[in-house]
Amino acid sequence: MSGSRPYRTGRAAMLPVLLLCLLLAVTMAAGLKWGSRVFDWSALSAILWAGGGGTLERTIVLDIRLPRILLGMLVGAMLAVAGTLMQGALRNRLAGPELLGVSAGSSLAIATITVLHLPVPFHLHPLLALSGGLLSGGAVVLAARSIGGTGMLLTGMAVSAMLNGMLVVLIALGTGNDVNLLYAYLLGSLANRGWEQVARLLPWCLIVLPIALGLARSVNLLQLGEETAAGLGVRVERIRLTVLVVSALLVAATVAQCGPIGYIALLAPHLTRAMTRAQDTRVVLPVSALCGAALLTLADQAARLWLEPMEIPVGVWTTLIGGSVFLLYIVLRRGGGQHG
Amino acid sequence: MRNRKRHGWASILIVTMLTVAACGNSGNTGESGQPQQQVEPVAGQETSAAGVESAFEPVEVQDVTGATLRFEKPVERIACIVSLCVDVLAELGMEPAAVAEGGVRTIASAPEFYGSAGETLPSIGGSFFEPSLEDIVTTAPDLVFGLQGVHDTLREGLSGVAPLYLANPKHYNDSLAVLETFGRLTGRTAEAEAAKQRFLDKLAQAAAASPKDKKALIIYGSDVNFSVITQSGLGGSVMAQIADYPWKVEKPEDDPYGEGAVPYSLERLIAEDPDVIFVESYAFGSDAVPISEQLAASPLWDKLSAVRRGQVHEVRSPIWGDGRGSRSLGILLDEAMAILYPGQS
Repeated sequence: MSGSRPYRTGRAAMLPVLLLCLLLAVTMAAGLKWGSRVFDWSALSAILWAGGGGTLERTIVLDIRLPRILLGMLVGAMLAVAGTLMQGALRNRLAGPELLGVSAGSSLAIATITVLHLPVPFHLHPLLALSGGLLSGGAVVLAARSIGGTGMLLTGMAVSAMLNGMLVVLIALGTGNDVNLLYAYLLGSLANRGWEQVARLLPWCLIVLPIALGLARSVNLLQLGEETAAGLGVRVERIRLTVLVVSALLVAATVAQCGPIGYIALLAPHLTRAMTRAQDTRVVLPVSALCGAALLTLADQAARLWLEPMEIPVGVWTTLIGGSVFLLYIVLRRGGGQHG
Repeated sequence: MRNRKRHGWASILIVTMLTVAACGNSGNTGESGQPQQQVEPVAGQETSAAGVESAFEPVEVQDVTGATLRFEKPVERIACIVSLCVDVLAELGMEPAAVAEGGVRTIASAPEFYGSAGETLPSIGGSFFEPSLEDIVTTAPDLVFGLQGVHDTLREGLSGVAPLYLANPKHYNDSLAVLETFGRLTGRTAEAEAAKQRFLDKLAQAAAASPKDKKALIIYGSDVNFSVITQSGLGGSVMAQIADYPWKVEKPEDDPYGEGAVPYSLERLIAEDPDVIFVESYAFGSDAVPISEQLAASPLWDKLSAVRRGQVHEVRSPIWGDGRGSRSLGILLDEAMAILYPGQS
């Protein structure tokens, strides 16, 4: 929290919110219209609102394209919220969900199934990925108790590094096909997901996102520094652990359904702060959720349409574009310090 | 004192680890510590080694990477670090000097290849991507047979040990060319020619018998994370001879490494709506829930006619996907014909 910069009111966020809503609407319209079949606007409207179109057209629009867009919005919002909370609570603008070990835990679970050819039914894969993510995230949270923000970051990095090492061992054991499939998961993708995945993610959104929003005030105080926050009556360690648990839950739920999708959690809060010129988590958190939703949906439609019918995992795009944008952002800001 | 004790434990640990490492590959050596000699050749396919050697003329071949290999005498001991090697040697009536574990061992142990004898072939440890050099050296092969794009970096490590031949067929004609090359290298040109003709006859027969009125699809993976074998993939090149197989790589950049297997949009699959789906599976024949049932439970996959009509068939990934040779492709052909056109194959 910058002491010299006063908190901006939510009014400053109105224009960015409108622009993000517009971007989301355009992306959604384009995503519904284009693909292996291109629909004209009237046909699309008939399918969406009037029960028009044949079975195939309705399946493509209503069962494939629409849920995929909604899934992108949910996942993007959840990742962005997790990133915002972690950056605020750990007072480090480079903190992200990868430091929770959640992605590594989920990836390890899926790698085990894929490489060792375990006869686990498909519908149990997300559940096992979720368990792997929660277990590793839980281990980080437990190990990080009472050791301060930097200690938490280092613990997360150590656990992630260990799990990633085990992942590499598994990759080395796999066949070519196994590794191809595993990479598709490790890069993160929204392809071939439908209402089933939306339904699995929705409860997490409905339960955990309000809790996350409720933490905004405490995170604001944490950003003032541990001593100041404690002086203002904040139970620093407890709040920090709560933030880690909430972030782990948000990330684990998304990784279980779509694999680890990079850079959204890192980029969305930064872009939001830059657009709204606000540091107040109560403003940044919801706008960041919107920003994450718009970014991921846009990246996913690019991934889907660029080389259609081939699908490039969206994680490739978020990493390529997100990495470049983030680098540019850092250069423009001349460094990524604590309050960057 | 405490430090000395700690050093003592460390020394014991290091000695133990070295001992274990030294004994780790004992399966590759005989009692004398020398490389184990080849086990008995496949029954009924033996060729006189002396006869072969006397008729052999020096051979120079180029592998798919352009590397030139020259042999003054017939190649007898071949270390297989790719399944195609097992396929080729089985067609030539030879046995591998050693096989890599995982998929290569699986295909060697399949009933159509060496059966139970495949389970006892000397082992090359390590992983598919990095087979153990130590095990290869211990095997003392005349030639190591690997996969282009995976084992290329082994060439340097094998220099002075054995030449490395790399292949990666994209079409069944490429597989037949590899078979012929190995016929020349081993002095078994007659066996290679016979195997090639057997496959081509089978393919011609199947193509003639096929009304080609079924749309087929080969995939591997799960419900959300899968790849489609395209026409430019080996299995696709065979399937296109006996069925409508519309799965193509539209632009070269879609498949930059020429794998012939690309992630595909489910939207496109639903629009094409194949009649029969073959799923390459490693859990084939296990107690796992059949993939057909799993896909039928998915609201999206259930939109496909093949899924609704129970026309999703699990096939052996080690043979359909990894085999890459004429024997594996022949098995693919037989199994696909029996499913696509029952009663006509």
